[in-house]
Amino acid sequence: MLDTLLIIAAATTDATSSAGPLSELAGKFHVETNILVAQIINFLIVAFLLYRFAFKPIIATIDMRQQKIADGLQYAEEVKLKLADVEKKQADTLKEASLEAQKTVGDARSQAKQHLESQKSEAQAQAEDLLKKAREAIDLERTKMISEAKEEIAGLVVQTAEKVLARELTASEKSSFSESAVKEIKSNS
Amino acid sequence: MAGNRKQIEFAKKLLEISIEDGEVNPERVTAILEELKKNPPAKYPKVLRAYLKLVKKEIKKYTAVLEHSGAISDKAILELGKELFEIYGRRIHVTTKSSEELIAGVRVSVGDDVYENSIISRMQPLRSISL
Repeated sequence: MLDTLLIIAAATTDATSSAGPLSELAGKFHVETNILVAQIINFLIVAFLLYRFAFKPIIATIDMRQQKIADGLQYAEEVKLKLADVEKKQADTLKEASLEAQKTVGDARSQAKQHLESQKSEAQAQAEDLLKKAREAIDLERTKMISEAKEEIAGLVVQTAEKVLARELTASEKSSFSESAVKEIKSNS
Repeated sequence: MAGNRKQIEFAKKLLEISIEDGEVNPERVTAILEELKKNPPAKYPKVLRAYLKLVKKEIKKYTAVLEHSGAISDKAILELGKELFEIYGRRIHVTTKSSEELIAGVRVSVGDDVYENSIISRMQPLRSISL
């Protein structure tokens, strides 16, 4: 590198001293115009070929990939949005389900309470009915007992009266009663 | 059973023969029994039993049993006989029977009919009276 600089400096010094500096410089560097033009043309052809067959496909591939990445990012964004939407819907659904469940539990509690009340009132009615029947049965039994006692007492009274009459009535009284009884049969028949 | 029916029918015929003026004639009954003894029919004891039953039933129709407690006069019995004649339209023989269970009063039975007027019959309704 240092050598090259020294050569360029020397060439500059020489050029200031000559009339056609550019020609001299070209001569010193052995630059030939024809070769230079040919090299430029070659360079342009190579550049064109490289651009056409190497860079362009690579750029296209890069563009495609960038597009894919963008699409992917966009998709990811959409997915993210959808996910958020789904999460929101899920949250809403959960909230609704929770409310529904609370309502159902409330209804069930209300129904259970109602059922309990109904059962309670039914049991109370049954108990009252049983009590009523028991009272009726007791009353019936008591009436029957009283009736039986009355019959028995009446029987005893009659029996006693019969015994007393049988003992106390004299023969003449019996005879008199029998005579009048015959007459009564006659009048009744 | 068919055999029994035959004997009953035969006994009924014998009873018809035994009746004279609406009453069982003892002489006819005696004659029938004598005849049966001489010429016993088939199943003779059954015929006799059926005949006895029918005769008793027939006699009951015109016989009144007067059950009484305490003495009862002949006049009262006679009056009762007249009354029964009016009721049944035929002569009714009244037989008496002492029955102390009546306490006082009478019970007259003619066939299935019973007329009673006694202390015991008057007390009977009192047994069913509720106090």
